[in-house]
Amino acid sequence: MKKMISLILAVMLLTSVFAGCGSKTDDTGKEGNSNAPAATKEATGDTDNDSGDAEPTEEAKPLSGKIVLQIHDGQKVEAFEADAKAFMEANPGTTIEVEFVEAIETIQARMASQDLPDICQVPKTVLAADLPSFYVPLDDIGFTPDNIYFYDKGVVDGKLYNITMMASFTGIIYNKEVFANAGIDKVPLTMDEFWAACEKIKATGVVPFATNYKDKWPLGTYLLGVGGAAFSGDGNYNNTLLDGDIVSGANLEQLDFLRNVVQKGYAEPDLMSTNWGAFTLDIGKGKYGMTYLGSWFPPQTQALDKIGMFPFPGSKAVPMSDDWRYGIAANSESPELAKAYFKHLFIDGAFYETMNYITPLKGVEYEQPFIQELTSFGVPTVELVPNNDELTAVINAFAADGTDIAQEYMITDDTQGVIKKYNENWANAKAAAGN
Amino acid sequence: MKTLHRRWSKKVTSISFLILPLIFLLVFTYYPAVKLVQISLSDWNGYSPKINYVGLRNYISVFKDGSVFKYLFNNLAYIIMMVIQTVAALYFAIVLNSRIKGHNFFKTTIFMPYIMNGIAIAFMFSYLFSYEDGPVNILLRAIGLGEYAIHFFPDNYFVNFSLAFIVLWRYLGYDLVIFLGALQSVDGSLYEAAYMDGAKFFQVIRYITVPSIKSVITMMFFLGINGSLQVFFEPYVITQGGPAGRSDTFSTVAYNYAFKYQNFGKASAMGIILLIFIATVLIIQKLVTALAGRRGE
Repeated sequence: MKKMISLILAVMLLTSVFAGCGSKTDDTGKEGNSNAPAATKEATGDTDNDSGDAEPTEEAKPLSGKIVLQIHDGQKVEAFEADAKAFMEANPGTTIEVEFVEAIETIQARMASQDLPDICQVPKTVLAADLPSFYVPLDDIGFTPDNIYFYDKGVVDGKLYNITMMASFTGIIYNKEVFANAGIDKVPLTMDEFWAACEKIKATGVVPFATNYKDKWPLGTYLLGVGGAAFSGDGNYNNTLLDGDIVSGANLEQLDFLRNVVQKGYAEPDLMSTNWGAFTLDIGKGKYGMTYLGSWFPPQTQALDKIGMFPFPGSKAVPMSDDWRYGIAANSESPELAKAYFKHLFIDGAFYETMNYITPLKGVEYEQPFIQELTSFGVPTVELVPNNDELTAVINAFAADGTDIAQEYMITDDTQGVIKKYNENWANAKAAAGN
Repeated sequence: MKTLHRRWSKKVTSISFLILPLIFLLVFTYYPAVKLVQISLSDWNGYSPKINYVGLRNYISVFKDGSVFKYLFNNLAYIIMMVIQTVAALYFAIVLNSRIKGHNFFKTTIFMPYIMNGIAIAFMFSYLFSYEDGPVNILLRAIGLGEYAIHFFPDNYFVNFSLAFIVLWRYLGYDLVIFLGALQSVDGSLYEAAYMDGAKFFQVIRYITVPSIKSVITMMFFLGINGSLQVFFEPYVITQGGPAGRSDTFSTVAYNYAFKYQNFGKASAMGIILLIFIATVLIIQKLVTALAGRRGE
């Protein structure tokens, strides 16, 4: 009897080994099945089988099939699921799952095994030449260079492979109450006014300018981000770095600005104690005066009535940049459904509304008050030209990004040494990537 | 006939028990290791279906960079704390092996950090070690020692010690449990004989306890060195390798090469170099203990 029990238990244990092998070849996109690949549901959700089973027969005209939409913001999973549900009800026979994946590296690993979600973000470091192998052309959905910004970045061999998920304007984001309390009645538009404003804010006991040093990635706004375009007025600034030194001109100006903010005591008291999560709410609560980020940030503060934006003092342009891009995976098993839902999200606008983003579609009036404020100062907006393939290859060989340079420059005692080191590495990277 | 059958059935039993772990070992350890060597000889970018071999270029690049020594030097802080951790675990194990009051409670509390979620720990220590809002510094300011407020993540080498302390806190319990198990295996009659002969506590430790579990102690030191050289989680999650790379370790740099800069070839080369380095350390350690053992006779 005991032997029988242990034998049965051993067999059960052995079969559990194969439970994890839900392979995608079984999943022909027909059922909302329960042995879907492992990492599908990280979100709090019971919508795995929410919409029930899709019909096994695929008809020619009405939409059917199953697709997975990947989003990067865990807070919005429910909102997207609600939108997906409405779409599924309008199109019976379809199944749309929402998958929350925050770390883009996970997506990249799945590229190598052709297991991408049907609608997903495109990793930023994929070279344009590789896009056709992993994504489906989107031209027939209705995007043209005339109706969406940043169209060209997604084009390879005349076909469009991905579009940006939002447009973002970058400027100084400030707390209006903090400014009022410090006695600042108009926003600083020159660097002298800026330092004077910082001094006034500091006198009220508030941190004038937030750098978010410890979390590192917010410093990516500056070098190799949009700062070059803002300071120089040239949307193509980053690509011009291929012809010269990386720490020079507008980049050096930005580094000096950051360093001065720290040296004059206008940054956070301890750079390694900053906390991004706390910061997003603290700026609304009036603990910080200003920071330099994109327009994707104000909605995150949850204090939109207190937040305003103005162009970086003395900058020549307000950069408009794209952000993460979305495409349809080549390994999708229901491309028609994917394209239809893609249109619903990105042309009809469901995506921008759900995420509260600024749409990249052209000819749309921007309703957000902080955008209207930002563009009211007469500083021209410039469309950021995305990094071209050569620049990406050089940055990969350089093995450092703008945040590394900024972090080091802000705290070093030897600025000339830092400048020399990075310019040398940049020259070496250009040589290495050239072959 | 019967003995033949018994011997054969013994063989079948042992083989069938071993086959599954062997398969797992081959698939999840040896095959990736072979692949790692293969990728280290190429310039693969992580997603392209083709592999382009470039010989030893990645290895030369790693040594020319100096990254081998620069970042391994940061790992040294973890090794130092690991020594403290192992000694402390041994001390606690000896003390808690007796039946003093509350020994179960202490064992549980010391072991608890080992099973806590890593991200939760990272978040907790980020807050605890904060210069502005951290409880440690708030307490110091409250009792008037504000000028001694500690920068736990300064822009000098000390940041590695702060992170290594978090590693110590996490893994002390694991070492403790292993040592406790080893101590249980020591024959009690040795202690009785020693006490009857009038031996004092430290003499007992030195002449009976430590030699009896010597192999376990050496194993824990080796595992500790192995772990210290490979540490990735704490510097990557808590300080992102900052400030300005001061807390970057060998593994965080390799990770960035692979996943941030698409240079899987160089990252794999770093992995193989680390493997060789750890194997060398192991061989040295084995030689030292063998020699010491021979001299002791």
